[in-house]
Amino acid sequence: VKAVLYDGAECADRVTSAVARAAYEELADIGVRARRLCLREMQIGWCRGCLGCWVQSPGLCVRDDDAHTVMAAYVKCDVAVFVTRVTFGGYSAQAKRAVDCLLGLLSVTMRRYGMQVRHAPRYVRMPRLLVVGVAPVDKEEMELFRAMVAAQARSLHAPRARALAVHAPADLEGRLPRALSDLGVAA
Amino acid sequence: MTTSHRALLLAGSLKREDSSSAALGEYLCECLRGQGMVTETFWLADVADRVARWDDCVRAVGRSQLVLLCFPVYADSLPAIVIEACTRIAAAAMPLKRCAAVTCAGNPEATHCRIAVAQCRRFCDACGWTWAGALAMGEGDTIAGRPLGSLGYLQRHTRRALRLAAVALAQGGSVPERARDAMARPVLPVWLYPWYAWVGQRRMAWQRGGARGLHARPFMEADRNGSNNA
Repeated sequence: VKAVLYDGAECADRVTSAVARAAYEELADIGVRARRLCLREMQIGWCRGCLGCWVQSPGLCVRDDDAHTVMAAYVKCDVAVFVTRVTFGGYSAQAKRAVDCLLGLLSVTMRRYGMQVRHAPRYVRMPRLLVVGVAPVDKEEMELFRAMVAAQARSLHAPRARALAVHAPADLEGRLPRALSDLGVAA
Repeated sequence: MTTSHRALLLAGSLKREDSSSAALGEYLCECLRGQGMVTETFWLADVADRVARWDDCVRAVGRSQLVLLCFPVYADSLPAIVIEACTRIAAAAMPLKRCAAVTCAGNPEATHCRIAVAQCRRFCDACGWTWAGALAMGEGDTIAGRPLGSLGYLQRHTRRALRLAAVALAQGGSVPERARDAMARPVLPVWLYPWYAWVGQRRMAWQRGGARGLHARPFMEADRNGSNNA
């Protein structure tokens, strides 16, 4: 099993950073081959919504930065793990920069999927999605976070997705393997 | 009676005037000016391009009584730069303001904006401000950055929604339900929009040189060639 862990901690956010480290170690402990991408150390620009990844250099971001690393790692893994502080019920800006890059993994063609019309996937196989949300303020915020992860999974055609809420690295113990098992990922 | 005299349009699209969400925001501002309000626009693109700093953004928010978040939906939620702006504004702990949102998605259904609108509301709560509601639409490509006033019959419901919202906001109220409904009404039939968008994007692809490989899978090709992009 190949996993990519996107560490979406902001520079001063030690708790999220510690949770990301703990998640990485836990993945190694259960035998998952994980690669850690520390997003704050990467050069990832703001998505400009230029659609260049569809109409100019299909499948690739037109920016010459680490967006390509983020995209390539995502499409080649079995499970993508994002670690982010829950911010207004969603990703932190740092983590969302990486998520916004993933638009290029979708095709320009739209199709109907159930009740909604969405962009078709560019790649046949898309990874499962696990998003670890750090320090949600209340239950309502966590519910919104879960809904966001579910919507993102639909958009990115992730076969399965889970959202986990934690407040400290210790909260991950035992829960990460369970979440992976729920996703149908066996180490 | 106008209760909030100064409104700030916080434009979150980095395409500036070429963006559909900015076209919606600009039309709303035009309507608010018609109601006697003073409006100001702060482009987050200025921060991205390093023409302005985050402090300028926070100061602009401080000068206004009504904050209008205006942005496109990316991956079913707020764009990264809008999250960054909201985080900085919330950290500045400003006195009570009212906040509303105007947004559009590139997919046909306005329901794609639901999460992003809920996030705006969370931001508003985090600031301790009053939530004045949101207007959300799908089919953003039908605007394609053109001024709403020039789009005639096709965008009549959108303009009506923004006019209704402007009257309510200028009077210190919230976005009325009929404005929300009018805004969410599809401009084109949902079955037709994918074709409309496809033709527009195909044309863009011819202009920008990507038409030949629209369905390319560059990372799979790299795999086959034995190189590793990751």
